[in-house]
Amino acid sequence: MQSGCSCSEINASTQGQIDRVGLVADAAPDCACESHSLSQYSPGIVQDEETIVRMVCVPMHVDKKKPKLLPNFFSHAFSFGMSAQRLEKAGSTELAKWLNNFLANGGDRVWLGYVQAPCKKIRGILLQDESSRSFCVYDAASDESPAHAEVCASRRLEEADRLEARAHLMKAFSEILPRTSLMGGEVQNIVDSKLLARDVPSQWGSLTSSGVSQTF
Amino acid sequence: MVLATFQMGQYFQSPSIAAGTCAQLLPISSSNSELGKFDNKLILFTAGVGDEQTAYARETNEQERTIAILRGWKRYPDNWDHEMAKAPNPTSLQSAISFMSSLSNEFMMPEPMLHDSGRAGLFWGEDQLYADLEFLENGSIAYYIERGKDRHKGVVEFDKRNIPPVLKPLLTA
Repeated sequence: MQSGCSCSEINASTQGQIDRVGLVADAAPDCACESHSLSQYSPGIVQDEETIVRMVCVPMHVDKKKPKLLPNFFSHAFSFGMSAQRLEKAGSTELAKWLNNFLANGGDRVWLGYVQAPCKKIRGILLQDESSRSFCVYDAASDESPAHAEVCASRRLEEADRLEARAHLMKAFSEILPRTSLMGGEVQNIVDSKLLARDVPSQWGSLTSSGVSQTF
Repeated sequence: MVLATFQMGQYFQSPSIAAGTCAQLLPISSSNSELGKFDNKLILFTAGVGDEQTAYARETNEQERTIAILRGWKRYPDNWDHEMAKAPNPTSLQSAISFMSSLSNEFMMPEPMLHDSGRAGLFWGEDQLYADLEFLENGSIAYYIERGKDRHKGVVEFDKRNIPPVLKPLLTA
């Protein structure tokens, strides 16, 4: 740790900063904080074998014509840190609670589905002709969401490299899955019904009923 | 569809359009091409005989819709995503609009994006094409493109009028 701070101190001091990812990488290069829990609420550091889930709820992140993700879905991995959930650590109640809070915080938000990727796959992303990892996956538990994780770029990347890394991340989370399939429908059954009933634009309707594959 | 016939400098006064409707149609340039937009239809004023002009309407096309979306983002404030995003950067947004306006029929049409940094972007996601363009604050464009098995990335200057030559062959249909 270059700064001499602990990972939990780095986590706390960079919360909410748009350059959080860069600051964390400066203070703890090479994903050093992956081997430390970032808060007292943690169920343990994120293991390679875990599944990382990210909810698709913001219309701005989805193609306007077809139910496919856009690269800006992953913008936070290079700025504030990209929020995600640890599937094997989160119960349906925790995920539903997270969704209720997130959806209630924006009137245009609709739970369209979710994407998932093995942690090992995310950690294995490399830029072309480079041998160092592009992303870290941190245990970023909070009191309300102990299974909260963050995906963050491992270092400050050049502009074009950042776009390449984003493309790899998009491929890792390769398919938008319908919300009905998350934990066998358990989560959907306990999300606030008013939030769940928000209108889904017709072009994305298939996301709320059956699986949809996307090329990238 | 012919909407109306009118004299240059006049708004529509035609029996086919209600007066209240005409009042909402405002000219946006003085050329004899695109002049106004109403009810999600682009109004085209074509050259007529003498000073008389004829207005036609057609459905807004994909390129125009995308430009309209990008223009609409100019009004977004800080925290537009409720997750602390920056307000759209005017230079970035204008570059994206100029880029879209420069796309001729030979190009495939992209999806617009707004990033949490306030930068605008354009994305092509087809079977054999992944193209992610981000418009930087200094007016240049960062790009990462996969077309078939080829990969291209870099940062290129953009003069706001012409699609950069390096991008042209990668984004054409």
